[in-house]
Amino acid sequence: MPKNPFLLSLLTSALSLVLSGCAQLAPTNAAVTDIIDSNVRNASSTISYVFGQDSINRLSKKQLLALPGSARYGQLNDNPAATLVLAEIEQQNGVTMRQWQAANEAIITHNGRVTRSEGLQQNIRYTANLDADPLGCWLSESPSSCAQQWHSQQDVELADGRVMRLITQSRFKRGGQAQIQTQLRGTLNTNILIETVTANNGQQWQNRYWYTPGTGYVVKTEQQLGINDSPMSGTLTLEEARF
Amino acid sequence: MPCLSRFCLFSFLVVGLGAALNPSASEAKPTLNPERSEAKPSAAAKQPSVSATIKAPGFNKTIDYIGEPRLSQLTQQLRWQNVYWPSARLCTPALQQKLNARKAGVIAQLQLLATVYKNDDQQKLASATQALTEQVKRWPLQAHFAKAGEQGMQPALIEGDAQKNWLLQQAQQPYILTVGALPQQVHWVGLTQQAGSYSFSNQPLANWVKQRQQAAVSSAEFIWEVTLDGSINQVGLYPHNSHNEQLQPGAVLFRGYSPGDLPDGFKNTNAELADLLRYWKPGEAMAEQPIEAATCG
Repeated sequence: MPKNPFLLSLLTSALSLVLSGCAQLAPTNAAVTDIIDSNVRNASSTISYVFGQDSINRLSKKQLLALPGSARYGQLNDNPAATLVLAEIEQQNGVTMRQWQAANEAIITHNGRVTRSEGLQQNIRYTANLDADPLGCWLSESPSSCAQQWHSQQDVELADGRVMRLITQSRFKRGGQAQIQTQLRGTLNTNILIETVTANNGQQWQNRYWYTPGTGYVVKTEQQLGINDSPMSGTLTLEEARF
Repeated sequence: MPCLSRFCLFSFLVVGLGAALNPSASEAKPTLNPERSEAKPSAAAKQPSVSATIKAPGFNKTIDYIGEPRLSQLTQQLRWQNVYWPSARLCTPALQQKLNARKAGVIAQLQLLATVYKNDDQQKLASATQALTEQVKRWPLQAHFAKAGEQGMQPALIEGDAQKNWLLQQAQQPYILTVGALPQQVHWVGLTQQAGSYSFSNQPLANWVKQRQQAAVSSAEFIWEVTLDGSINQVGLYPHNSHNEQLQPGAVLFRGYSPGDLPDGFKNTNAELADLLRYWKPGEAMAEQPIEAATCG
């Protein structure tokens, strides 16, 4: 049975609302009812906004407040943002797992790390060794006892359907503080965690996590999505839209 | 053996047994038809029930559903498990029985082909075919409903996809959903003396195959690649291709007959064997001994 039936029961309406919002969004404060009533276009368009559309802005505060729950803006590189709705949340052994979803795409996160995706042009099929992932520990108040490194494997499905396995090694370090501006909660003071990832194909990149001290809640994160020379590869930013 | 008999057997294999496991065969596939017996008060005792077992690393659960569930109700059981969803397979014992019969038919076809080679005094091909016959008996095959190129599941999206969120019918039960772990092997089969399961590593597919060419019996210039999603690709082994296609985790690589070596009536043998390899059980190595009666689990 679902752990959070209330949240699940709101999923359909939330998806319709947000997807419509993405497709129909205007700079002005469009009425929420108009958004709901609007013809929901192909839902895959939501994520496609992340990957190349150029005519989207952020939801208004009013629109965000009309959402039934949490939402995130997703953005690839400098492309405009799209909105993803929290479909499910689960806590197990100190790990908070979330499923952010549109109708035809989904992103699964573990303590803010993107571990799997579905329906994108390029997907993370699997992330290995999550039980040993020290990310949650590093987001806590006492990271001095956390593991410094983490080994993992990722199977990434490329745009042509072929799969590439990345064997990765991560190193973590604190990156200071920063203020993050959110639409509904105002300015938040956050700590920065920097994860330097080295893959077996020679590539190296940094994932960054901005999180609130004390709670470890990831307000914003930048992570590598995609590899090689694919136009889909780049840095995926997930940022709080509604807490 | 008369040529006519060859064709009869071949037709039986291709049309009969092949169709029996064809995902489009309506009798075998869970339907998308939303029509189901309504739970009338007077007919409450006739409410259907469906038993389903979900198996994954560290997870084994059997659920008796009242009514006929959708596939998503099974996948929901594993939604927070870190499993390798491209390896997900939905199977029933009845479907597995048909696959086992199809495998037996292919083995019979190969035995017939070996006889043809022997009668034509092609001893090398005859003995290679006989060896392949014994090898096929060791292939670990698991039946499933998915079409080629669409094997595996996307659990987060399946609920909203009416085409894939099958209705699991009482008449087909029990159902067994299996999902494996990260694949760590590739499988090398066919006309080769080095058939077996090998550790996966990132490298060009053609290079990997060439390392095993010494023991190849056929001189075909391409191999058949069957990936976890059931895609069947013919990959050339030419030098310019050596860096294009990467080895795929969990894939089965099949060295078939050179087309010119196949007599009339057997021209489709390579494709038939490659299609059978779509049912290679994810995560399973080639068996040491012949598998007499494979099961879903």
